[in-house]
Amino acid sequence: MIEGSYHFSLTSYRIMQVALIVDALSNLAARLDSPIVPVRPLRIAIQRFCSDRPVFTPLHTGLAKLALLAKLYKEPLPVLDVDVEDIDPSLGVDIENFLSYYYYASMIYIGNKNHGRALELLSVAISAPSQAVSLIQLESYKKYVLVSLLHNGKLHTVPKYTANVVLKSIRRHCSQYIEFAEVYENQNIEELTAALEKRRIVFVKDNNFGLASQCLRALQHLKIQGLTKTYITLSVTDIVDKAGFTGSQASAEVGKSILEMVQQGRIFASIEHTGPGEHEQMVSFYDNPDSYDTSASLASLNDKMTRAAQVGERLGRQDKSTSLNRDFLSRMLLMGDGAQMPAMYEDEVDIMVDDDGRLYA
Amino acid sequence: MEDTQMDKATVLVVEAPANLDLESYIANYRGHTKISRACFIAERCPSLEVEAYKLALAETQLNTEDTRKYEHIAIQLNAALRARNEPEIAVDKEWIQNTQRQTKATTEKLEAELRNYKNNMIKESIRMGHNDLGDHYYNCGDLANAQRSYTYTRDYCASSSHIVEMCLNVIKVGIEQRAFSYLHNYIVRAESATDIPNKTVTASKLKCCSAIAHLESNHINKYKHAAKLFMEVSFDMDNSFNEVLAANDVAVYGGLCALATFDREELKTKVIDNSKFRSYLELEPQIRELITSFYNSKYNTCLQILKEYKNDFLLDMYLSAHVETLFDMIRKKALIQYFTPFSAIDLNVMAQSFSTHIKDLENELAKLITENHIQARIDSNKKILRVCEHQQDQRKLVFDRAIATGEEYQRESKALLLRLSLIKADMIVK
Repeated sequence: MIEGSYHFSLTSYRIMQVALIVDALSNLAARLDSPIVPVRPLRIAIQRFCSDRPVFTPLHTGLAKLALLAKLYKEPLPVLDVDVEDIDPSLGVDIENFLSYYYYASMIYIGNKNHGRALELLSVAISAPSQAVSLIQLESYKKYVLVSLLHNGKLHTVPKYTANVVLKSIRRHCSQYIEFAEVYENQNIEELTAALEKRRIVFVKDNNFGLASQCLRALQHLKIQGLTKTYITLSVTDIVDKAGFTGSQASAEVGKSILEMVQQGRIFASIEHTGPGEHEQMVSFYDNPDSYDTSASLASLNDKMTRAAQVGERLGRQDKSTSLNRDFLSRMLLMGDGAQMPAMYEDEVDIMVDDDGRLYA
Repeated sequence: MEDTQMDKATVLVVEAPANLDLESYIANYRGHTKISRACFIAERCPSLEVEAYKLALAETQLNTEDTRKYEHIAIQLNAALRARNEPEIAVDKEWIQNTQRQTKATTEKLEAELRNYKNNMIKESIRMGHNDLGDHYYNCGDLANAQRSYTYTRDYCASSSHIVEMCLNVIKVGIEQRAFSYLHNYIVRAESATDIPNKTVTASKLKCCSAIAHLESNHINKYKHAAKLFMEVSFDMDNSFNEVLAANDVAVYGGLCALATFDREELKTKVIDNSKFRSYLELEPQIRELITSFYNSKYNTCLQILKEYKNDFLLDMYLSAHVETLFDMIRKKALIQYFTPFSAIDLNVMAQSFSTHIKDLENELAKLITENHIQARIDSNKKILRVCEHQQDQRKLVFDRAIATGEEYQRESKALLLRLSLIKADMIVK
């Protein structure tokens, strides 16, 4: 399903003339063996089509997949960064398109080292409404485990509305990954290295070995980050020891890691050379200097509040339209006065209702 | 027998303790505890093994009719002697045979009597009959049957003192079986009995049992509960409960648990100023010194005493499993208390007060900081521990948390809306 080539079938594809061109473009790309060609046109097409409302189109999947093949990780971002809000089946999309899009898009974000966003997209794919399990969901979960470790140092739980079939299947088919995460959470570099080696074949087969290997470095970074909460100053040699670096280049690597983390804004530190040798380097850790008292940080806070308010508004609209919906009302009536509203959303049981909202006899 | 062998595999070997005089220690106890404690020591401490087994063997032969235990101990003792190339002792076969014969006769006699009482339907006699049978089984080391007989008396208890007697018997057997989980019911039942003779002593005994049961539970605050119970034990009990606990044990168990869990104020009001418990502390002056030195912030002395007595504690039947945890807790508390009045402290000085190496101290403190016991950071360069500025942190924390919550809310809401759209469009994985 993942490796299979993507092509638009004309029957499911009635809406856009332009899409035909894109289809042709992607065929051309396949012929020329150069997936770069259609990426930009696709992006522009989507942006034009979705300018008024972010609706999901079959082009989304094509864009994400072709961009991934072409290794153009930056080009599709303007489209991927916009959250899809609407699904319109008349555009000829199906659940497979949908899952593939989230899977491919998450991989593009992983390529961009934006693990937080990748995690978000993967969790959408995993928790999509399901009566059966799609392979894409399983593959998504495997990546989800690893990205979750890279991003936060621990395995996140999936949303609680994830379908039971999916959860069961995850437990059965992704146990290697879950065990790996458990080892990771013990925060022991040696154990993790051993665990990685032990699962090498599985990870390589799933094309996840690279991602899994990054976990080692991520754990070292996590440990350095922990040290900043405990120490004000610490010598590089001590960090080598405490964060589990090994090898002859260990102190150089620590220096590199600290630089990298400072650049990412994960820690605030400076390295002082107190003597000529590299063993006499002293690292000083600082608190995050941003204490939310500058105009810039307040502005960003404001911005976040506005966005949250917008989401709240959408929720409100949805709530209103749902509560005016005929099916919904009839179901509420069926459940009687004592029924609790929120239970409705989680209730998977279908009550047979005919067009007039009456129970089938 | 099987489980003692299993124990052996996991048991740690304890070196000869500095402060233990085996004979006088064992003489503190009465009944089966004597044997259990001697065996416990023998299994763990090679240097005392022979002596302890000999004591246990003599006690078994003298005061019980438990031939199985006798044989078992004899085998262990001879194994120990063999390993030391010393002459083995002869097993008293005659005693075994005689005792077995007698035991059988007594069982039959008591059972016949009991049947007789039952026919006559005299409640008190039936109770006595069950009780005697229970005592007899207990004496023979048949704990399961003893427990059953004691439990049967429950239906024939006419007064609250009978109930207390029944409960204490059941508890006694339960403790020996190390089946602590169901003791609680009987303790509560006995405690609720009114107008019984020497109420304070009985209440104290029950508190001791309850405290021991707490120690063996998995409760998160078990040490604190145990400590509180030990503090309430009246000195009237003294050594009268020594078939389970000697008075010295109350001081040791109570003192250690209190030290590990009480804060400074509690230590003062509930331990040091507690007249009941003070009498117990007189019996174990080192525990008194331990507590006062801790209270007076002389941590070095305190830790020194702990170190000196560690092996003794490790050889105590009920304490052994908890020694490491309790010591750890006490040490942590000492470190935290030591640091409390300072805003910055030189690690060299601190290391000296705890007679430890600065490197180890740094690691210990790092752990305490990570576990959020002290709000401070280590300046490893200058070897100084500094308190973090609180206020700044709090304000920032609030902002951080608010932003995280807000983003979580957005993400979740958007995901839910999208899911709703999917369901509406009937796009479901099938």
